[in-house]
Amino acid sequence: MKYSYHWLKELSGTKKPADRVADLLMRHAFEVETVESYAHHMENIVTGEVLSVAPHPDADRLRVAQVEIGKYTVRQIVCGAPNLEAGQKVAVALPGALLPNGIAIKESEIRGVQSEGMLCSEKELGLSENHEGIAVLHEEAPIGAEFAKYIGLQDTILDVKILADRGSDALSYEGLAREIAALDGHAPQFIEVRAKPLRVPAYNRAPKIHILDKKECRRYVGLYFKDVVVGESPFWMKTRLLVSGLRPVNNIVDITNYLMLLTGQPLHAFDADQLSGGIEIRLAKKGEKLELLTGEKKTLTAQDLVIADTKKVLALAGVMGGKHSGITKETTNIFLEIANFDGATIRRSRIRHGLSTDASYRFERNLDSNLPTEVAREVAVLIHELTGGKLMGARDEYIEKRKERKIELALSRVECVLGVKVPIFEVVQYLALQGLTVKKINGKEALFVHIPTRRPDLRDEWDLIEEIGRMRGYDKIAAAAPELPFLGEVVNEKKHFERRTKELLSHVGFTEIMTYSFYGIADMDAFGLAHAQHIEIANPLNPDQTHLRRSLLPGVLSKVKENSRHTESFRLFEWESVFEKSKVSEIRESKMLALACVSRDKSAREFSRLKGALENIFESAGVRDVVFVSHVVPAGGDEWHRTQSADVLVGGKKLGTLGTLMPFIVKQLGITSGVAIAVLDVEVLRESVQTEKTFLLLPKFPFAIRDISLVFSQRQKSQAVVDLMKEVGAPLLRKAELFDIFEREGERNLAFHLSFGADERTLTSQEMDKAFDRIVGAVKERLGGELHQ
Amino acid sequence: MSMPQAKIATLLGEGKKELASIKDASTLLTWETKYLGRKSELNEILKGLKDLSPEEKRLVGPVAQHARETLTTLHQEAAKRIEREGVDWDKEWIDVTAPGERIPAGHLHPITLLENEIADIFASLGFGVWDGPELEMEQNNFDSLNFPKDHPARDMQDTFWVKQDKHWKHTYLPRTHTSTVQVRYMQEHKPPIRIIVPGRIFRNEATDASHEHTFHQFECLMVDEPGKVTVATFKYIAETFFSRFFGKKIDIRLRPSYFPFTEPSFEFDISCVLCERKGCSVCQQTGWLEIGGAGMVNQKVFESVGYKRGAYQGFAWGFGLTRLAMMKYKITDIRLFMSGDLRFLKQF
Repeated sequence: MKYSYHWLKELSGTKKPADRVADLLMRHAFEVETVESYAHHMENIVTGEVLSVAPHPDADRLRVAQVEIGKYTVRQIVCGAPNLEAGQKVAVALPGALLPNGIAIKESEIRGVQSEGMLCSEKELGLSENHEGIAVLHEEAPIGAEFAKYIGLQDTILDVKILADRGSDALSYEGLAREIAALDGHAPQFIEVRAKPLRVPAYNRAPKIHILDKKECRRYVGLYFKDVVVGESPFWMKTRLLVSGLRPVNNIVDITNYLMLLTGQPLHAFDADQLSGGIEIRLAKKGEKLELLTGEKKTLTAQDLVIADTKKVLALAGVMGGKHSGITKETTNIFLEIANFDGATIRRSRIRHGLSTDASYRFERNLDSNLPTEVAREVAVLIHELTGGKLMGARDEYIEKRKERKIELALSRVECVLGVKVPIFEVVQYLALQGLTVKKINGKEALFVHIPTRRPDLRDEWDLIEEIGRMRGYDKIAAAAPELPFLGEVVNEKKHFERRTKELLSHVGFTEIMTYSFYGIADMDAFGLAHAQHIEIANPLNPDQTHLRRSLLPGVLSKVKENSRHTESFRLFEWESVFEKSKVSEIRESKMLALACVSRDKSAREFSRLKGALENIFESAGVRDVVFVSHVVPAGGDEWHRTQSADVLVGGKKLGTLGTLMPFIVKQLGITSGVAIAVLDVEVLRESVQTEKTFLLLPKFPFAIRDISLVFSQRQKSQAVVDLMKEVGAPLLRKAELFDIFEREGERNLAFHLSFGADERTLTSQEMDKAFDRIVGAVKERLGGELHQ
Repeated sequence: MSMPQAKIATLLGEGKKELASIKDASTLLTWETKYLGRKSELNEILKGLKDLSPEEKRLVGPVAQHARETLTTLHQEAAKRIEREGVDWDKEWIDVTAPGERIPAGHLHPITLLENEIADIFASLGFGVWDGPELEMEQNNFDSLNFPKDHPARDMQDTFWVKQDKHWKHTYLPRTHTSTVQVRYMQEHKPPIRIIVPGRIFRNEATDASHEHTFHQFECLMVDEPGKVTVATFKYIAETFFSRFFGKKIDIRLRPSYFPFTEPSFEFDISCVLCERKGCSVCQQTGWLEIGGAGMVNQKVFESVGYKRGAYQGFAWGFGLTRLAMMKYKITDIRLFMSGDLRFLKQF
């Protein structure tokens, strides 16, 4: 909220300049976002006195005034205002002035007469919409003073971020002035109870009030005035509204706004002649309609609280009034509402209807239901003084009077929370400055603290300790090392594994990327992902970020494409959550690891590089017995290439898939590089890690290596050949390692290094030949492979 | 017949002289044959010693022996010298300024690097690392943290909401803070508690150079019996952490604030890491940098996880890991973190 420094100073009695006040607030109460001069746009406008008025020689509607704007300084000004008279004090815009409405004042000749400035109307000064004549100042106004200073617009504005739990008291000048005075170490300057109690005439003409929904409306005070004259409010009130960021409207509306600023209590004025019968405060009937003051038409729901008469809805309670019963120039009788509504109800209404107003902002923070008593007295005085209205009656429906809270505060608790001993006299002083009544409890190191109802944020001991801490200043609490019990290590296996594996990935050349957790329908379609299991965002920011991702691939592939523009060959990975609907647990979130190998080579070559990298990772991480089998395409198909993808299995469990993507997907994405992708389930990977290792004796006798080169006429998978060789070559064949693949004219040539050995002796060549021949025979018989000559 | 002594002296002198100018191994071999070989003059003299009279033998023998030993030593030295220097250096030349052939190195994301660094500092203070789901129940993100429904405090965090499935009992949202893990952790563990929680969070706000809807935060939670973990403890842990993190003494400044899940609540600032409180453009001349929110855990939060009111006390803090990364690496555009741009990522 924006606060005028002058007004705060007057109410609080502080002597500190604005920046010191801001500093005080920032350290002990609220963040002050800005401290700035009020932009009044009134440079070169001064006060003056009209010495004489003469007719214009060449224009009937214009007159020529001699205006004194300083000692011995008189200006001749041509003016068309009908209300111009000699002896008036006026606002004079001198050449060089740039009026709030954008008009630049220059010396000029108007129909042959020199004019050295302009006499301003309120509209030209930006004070109101009144343009019926020039603004006439008080007869005692000085001559030659800066106009802005004279009417109180030369001010500093503090934009203070009132904390969410202090809306009840501090969203008001009195509330913030109370805080400033407390921080300054004295009582505020204003009198808490100013006006005399309301004197309601015995005939009480105010309409009867019925609160039908008592949970939503705690109190409703209604005042009825007759014979008000709607017009301009005085300058002092207008300037207070202006510096606080509100536009003056008319005296009735200005009074309600002024009191809201001053006390924090929103008020609403109805044209009493537009009401029929008593006033009801009730939840709306579904479908009831209301035209707001702004002209906007709303259809209400059964959760909206409204003010209604016997025939119609008058206002959306706590948010905005209706047009029908609004104050107009013709209004003579008014009904004034000073109410207390349930914060949550008002909040839901304003969110539902997209209407945030100064009133709703305050009501949703749950105001003090005792506040209307004081405000009613105040408003009665102002209405009478400024509009001539006469109080004809008042009603006050108060469902349950809010009482002061009493908190017992143990002094030991203060030290226990703050970590510093605060002497009792200091504690008492801080609480008293905050306007709380404090009593020492006999025989106990404890206090009874009475909390005024304007401070609902103070509910328990901890709330009071916060008051003590901040009043004293947190900089007075010195850092103190804790005495820590030994906890043992808190180890989160998942985080530990993540860190270790990410490091391994970076060691084999993969760079970690992070992409958004959202994507859109277009991404799902591009990858052929079914829409159904996706979790949708109710209020997305962008049309391409409407769903939580079920797959990391769209994000990763878009980054592959973007990086291909400037980097030829790279490897990247993302380790993040994917989300989907689940029949068992409603939602399921799982961490996935997606990897990509990219270069100008063919995708098949990248497949091999990526597979090699994975094998490195598996070995380093301790994932053993990994098997790569041809990818099984699920019913309905998927994004993986039909003949260049493999499922990765560990102990029969599927760890993920490795391969290249369907060519149409790659083409659609516009990727021209060779790309191989792997997607692994992080949890399966972690559970596959075997950390136990048992040492094997080093071979005492050397292995003999013999190469074998086999020719197959069909697409023989090398893994099957290795499996077969190991089976028939046992126990002497220790290792079979593929070292070359050659393909030509439908033939596939696979070459292996075979290592033979025994634990207890060096093999003879006959033994080795026998095993070798057994292998050759089995390959021929079972797989149709021939020994390459 | 001239005296063998004079011959030996000549051989020794010439041998030495010739040896000094030899620069390659083959010339050295020729020299060796000439002076130390089986048919060398010196060897002939040595072989002829047996024919000399005992007197001559006594005179010539030691001289010849000495000459042989000297030449042998010199030969060994020359051989060593030629081994080191007898190389055609021009032929061996390589361009040592050409870039090396590197094993392609991967880079971890700056957020991950920072997370690890932070985890290590906290590990030394006895804190463990914990995590929780990114898609959370409304209950854990708000209600249990004392954000009542329809309370203005909920406006402090612009929230993405998930479209409710009609079969669901719970309402879900991408978590708006890592404080959700406070609830989850405390439901399963009893104090003393010392954890940090780094993680991805989501806010429904438009993206520009300084705003992101997805960023990383890190939570710190320390709970113990009343009096053991106080505001003063919080200041100590915060000061220690930031001083280690920035490698210099950092001061903490607490300002009053309001968060539903802490009481008292603070905004906390650290002394500017650049100007050391003298005032500079980074801290907007204030000498302080706003870092995050903190406070003493609200007793209502303890109650919501099943602890008895007043039985425990502790602090919690949360602040932007992303913001810290921007400060540490002087990154000027927050969008780079989620850009996946290798030119950015490879700098870390």
